[in-house]
Amino acid sequence: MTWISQHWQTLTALTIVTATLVVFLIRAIRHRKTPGCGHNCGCAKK
Amino acid sequence: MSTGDEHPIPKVALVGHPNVGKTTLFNQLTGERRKVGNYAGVTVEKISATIYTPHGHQMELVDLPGTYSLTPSSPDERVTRDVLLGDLDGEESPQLVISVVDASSLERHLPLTLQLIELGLPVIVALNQVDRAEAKGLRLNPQVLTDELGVPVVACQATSGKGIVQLKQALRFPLPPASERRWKGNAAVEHAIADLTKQLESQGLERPEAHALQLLGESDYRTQAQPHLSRVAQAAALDVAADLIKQNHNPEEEISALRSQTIRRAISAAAHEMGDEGETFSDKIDRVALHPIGGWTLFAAIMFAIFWSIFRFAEVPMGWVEAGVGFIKDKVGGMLPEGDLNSLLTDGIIEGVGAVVIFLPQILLLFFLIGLLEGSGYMARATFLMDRVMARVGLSGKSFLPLLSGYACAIPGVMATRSISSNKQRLLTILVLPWQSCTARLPVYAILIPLLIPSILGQTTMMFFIYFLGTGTALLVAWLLSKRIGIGEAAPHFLLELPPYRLPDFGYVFRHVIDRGLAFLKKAGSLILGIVIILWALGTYPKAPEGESQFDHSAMGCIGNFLEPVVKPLGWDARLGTATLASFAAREVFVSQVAVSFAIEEDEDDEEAFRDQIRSAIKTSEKPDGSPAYPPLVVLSVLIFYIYALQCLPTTAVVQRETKSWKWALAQLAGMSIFAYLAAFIVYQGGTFLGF
Repeated sequence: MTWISQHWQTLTALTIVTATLVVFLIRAIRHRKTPGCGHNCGCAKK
Repeated sequence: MSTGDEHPIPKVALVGHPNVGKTTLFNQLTGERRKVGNYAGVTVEKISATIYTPHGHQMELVDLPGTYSLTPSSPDERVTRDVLLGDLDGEESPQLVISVVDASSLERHLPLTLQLIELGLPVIVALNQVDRAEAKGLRLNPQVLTDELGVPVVACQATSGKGIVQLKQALRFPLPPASERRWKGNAAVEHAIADLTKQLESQGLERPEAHALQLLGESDYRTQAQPHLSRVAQAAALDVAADLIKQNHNPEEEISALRSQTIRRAISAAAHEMGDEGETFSDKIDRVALHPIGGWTLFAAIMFAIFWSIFRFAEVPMGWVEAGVGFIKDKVGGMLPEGDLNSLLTDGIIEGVGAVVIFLPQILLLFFLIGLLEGSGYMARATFLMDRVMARVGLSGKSFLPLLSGYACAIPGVMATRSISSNKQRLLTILVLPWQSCTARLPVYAILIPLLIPSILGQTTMMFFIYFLGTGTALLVAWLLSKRIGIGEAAPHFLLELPPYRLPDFGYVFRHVIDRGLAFLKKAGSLILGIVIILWALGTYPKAPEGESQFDHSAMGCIGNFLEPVVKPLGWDARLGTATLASFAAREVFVSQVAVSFAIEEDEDDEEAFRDQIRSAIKTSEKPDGSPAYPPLVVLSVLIFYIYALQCLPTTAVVQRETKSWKWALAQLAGMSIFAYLAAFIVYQGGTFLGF
């Protein structure tokens, strides 16, 4: 078995984690440019 | 179906007092399809929808913020006035106004209608709640009122849909013409109006007569800087008003008196009382609901019943959600061999997000019950009761509804403070509002309270006490801060209209609950999902050698060990420290983090329900010396921290936006964090000292 086939779960998991970090970073930068509450509080639109 | 290519889509605005039934009427006219946005440059919501007249013409219906008059006393009311005058950037003034009026209180509502007519816009009067007026023995003749006011008057009952068809028919195309002003002043006043109108017209101001009447009728509009009115226009108005005053004519008083005369004449012609009014059903209930002792007892009983219901009735649906989450975890876990991806999906994502989603039924139930209270008309009574308490601590009775909104979420509560006219009271309300225990804290309370008290009645009492503690602290701190903020600012009068008791509009309540539920799930599926993925990674890597604790070896454990000296005085360990730190992004993450961190260490499948799993893990955790890691005193210390800490960065962002001050937003964040730390410290150290 190749190294990748032995460790594919770890690689996939780490890819997901990295992608999550990138998304958070992008959202943080976007938030700084257009500040607002982000509607993430769980409250509905009134 | 259109207005025709040659006509732009006309805008129709709904205007009226708060609680008069505008939103209900809006929903009836639009079939509850609505868009929510913001007016440019201000943080007031804009609610609009597309409607079609019976002849197929398209219109845009806008629900403007409630206002008692065109003399605004809050940011919301200012937006309504500015939109109607065409002064708000990026916002055309409406082509038609529907003035929503309470048929049983014409004297209080018609002054606004008269002001709307004076704007020179076409107006239709929606005479709402005619059934209530008739129940009070009032007989109204809409046709006579039409003749007196010079505008179409349509009787309706928005809650039952009565008169909606006739109202839609009144929205004909082309639009009805604007009516003339219904009163005429003496020669001096009329000359002043004409003179100022001419001056404003020469300055290029649109709708000069409407602006002239507003400038003469409202001294603040004349004297205070208005973003959309030139200083030249105001200077002209000041000169004209000064001339009038020299002639012993106060423009505000005279215009107000002329409006009152016009209204009295219209009402005496169009409305007749049939015998004695008698006490209504609402009046009978208010004998208790507004009683100084009975009212408070009833209020406490209702709030207790709400909390009891949350624990009692949410249990079954929570069990379904738990079973669903457990089923998904088993299925997904079975599809993959053991490994990091399997662990991420099951121990991380499903465990972490599932731990939060389980509390959805409790949250929905809370919103449902609060929605019923609002829809029944009881909340206005609670606001009235609260006014006396609020006034004693430097707040306004109007602070009650924002504070109550804080029980759901601080953010709409902070935004709702726009209805508070006093800047000092508004700031105080914003500063203390996050101490209202919001629904994000509910999963934390629901996990921890049963660790302290097993019985449902005991848990309900504790929950009631927690909410009371948060609110009580908020009021105490408001009182202390009021001595230092805005000293000398005169307290404005508090005016509140008590709507009649009625059956709530269940459709509106259910829609509101569904909206909240979807927003909660959206948050769980986005922000919380992202956080649990990162928490899982921090707890999983680096991997611990065989036989060692994974948590202690992981990055999370390192962070926790770093934090431990800070949280140790509170009785906490590294795990609680990291869970609390992660909670500053979203409070619910505390539950996720605890779930994830224990699940990562769990070697066997556990068949217990999720919440019991987490509680069992907390209860059975031991320190290296074998003593319980989380005795009741530590659990209490965590609870106290969560009651008082501001763990919601979006709230800080909104506070900054609403106060236009980073100073206040950051001071609030720092102040509440320190307060929470000290409170938890006192509870833990004090309890230890007393031998608990």
